[in-house]
Amino acid sequence: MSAPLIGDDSLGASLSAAVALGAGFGFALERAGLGSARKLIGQFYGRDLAVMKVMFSALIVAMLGVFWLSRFGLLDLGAVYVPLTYLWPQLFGALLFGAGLVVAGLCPGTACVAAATGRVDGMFVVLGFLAGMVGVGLLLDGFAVFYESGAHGAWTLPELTGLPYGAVVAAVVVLALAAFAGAEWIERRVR
Amino acid sequence: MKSHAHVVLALLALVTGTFAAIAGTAAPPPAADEVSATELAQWIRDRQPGLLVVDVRSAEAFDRDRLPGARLLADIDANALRSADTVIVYADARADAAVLRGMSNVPRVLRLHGGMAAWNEEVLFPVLRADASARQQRDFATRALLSRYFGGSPQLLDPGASPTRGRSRRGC
Repeated sequence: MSAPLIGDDSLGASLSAAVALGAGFGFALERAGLGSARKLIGQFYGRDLAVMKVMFSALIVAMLGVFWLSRFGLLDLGAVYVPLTYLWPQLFGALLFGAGLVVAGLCPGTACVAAATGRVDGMFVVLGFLAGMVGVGLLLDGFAVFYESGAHGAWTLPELTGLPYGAVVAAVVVLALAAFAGAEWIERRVR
Repeated sequence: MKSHAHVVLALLALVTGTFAAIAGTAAPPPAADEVSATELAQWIRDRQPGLLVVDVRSAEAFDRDRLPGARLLADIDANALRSADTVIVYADARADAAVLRGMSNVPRVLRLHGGMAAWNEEVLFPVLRADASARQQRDFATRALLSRYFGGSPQLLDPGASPTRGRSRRGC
């Protein structure tokens, strides 16, 4: 038997898994202290780079897990959804996301965690991004050309660089460890 | 204590990452009793002596599509098996081990890794992205030659041609 264990035809099971994983994700964020806007905003002042450390940790755990599960025949990588790349709107979206993170002190995931734990700022951020989603949906036709620009399909780093998948995995691990060491150094300097 | 845990986790990530670089690909390698579709295609193209390719699927599936030179299991007699040095068996995905046990008198019996599906994907219809680098295009040229040799058609994928935008499952 190999993963994914839930097929596309089973909507109920997919949604149940999504709720369980979402709850687990929220719990992990809360335990890491990322429901606090003060903690999140600390990374922009170099005081507390926990967000970068938590996200990078999650990234390399998932990346190594996916690689080795597939290598041992326990995961069918062909059945794993890879989000499509639309270069220009996603670059713009990343900038907008970053600006929103600085202004609000929370991203969508951590805003949900903050709201769930009773923080008023989290509730306002959730309301804000829900309003933004509705607004974008209503105005989407007006900038459909930009929304579809820079299409590269399911584009991965091995395809972009031409390097073997395993070499890219190793490079990202080294990058993450260097980033962790750099983050610790910055935190010590600022404190 | 906390810093010791950090060092252990960092070393664990580094070791598994290094082994990933050594492994190269995330695809499971062929087992000891398996041969990859590409390697088999090269053997067939080079007319390797003593090679017998056996289709263990149904007669209907065999009539629909089969590997070049393959014979249906039901049509193979003991003489054919005796004269073969290497027997390759294949099914839709993974050939049944029971079939292999029935060929114990053959010097070497191998299964086709990934079965007919792997043959179609790797040999007959390999895919190259339109935005591939020059090196990727050079590597693909060899596979394209093999594909055309067996009557396949190398595919050029235009990643920007998707008519509808897929769902995003990103989170933060």
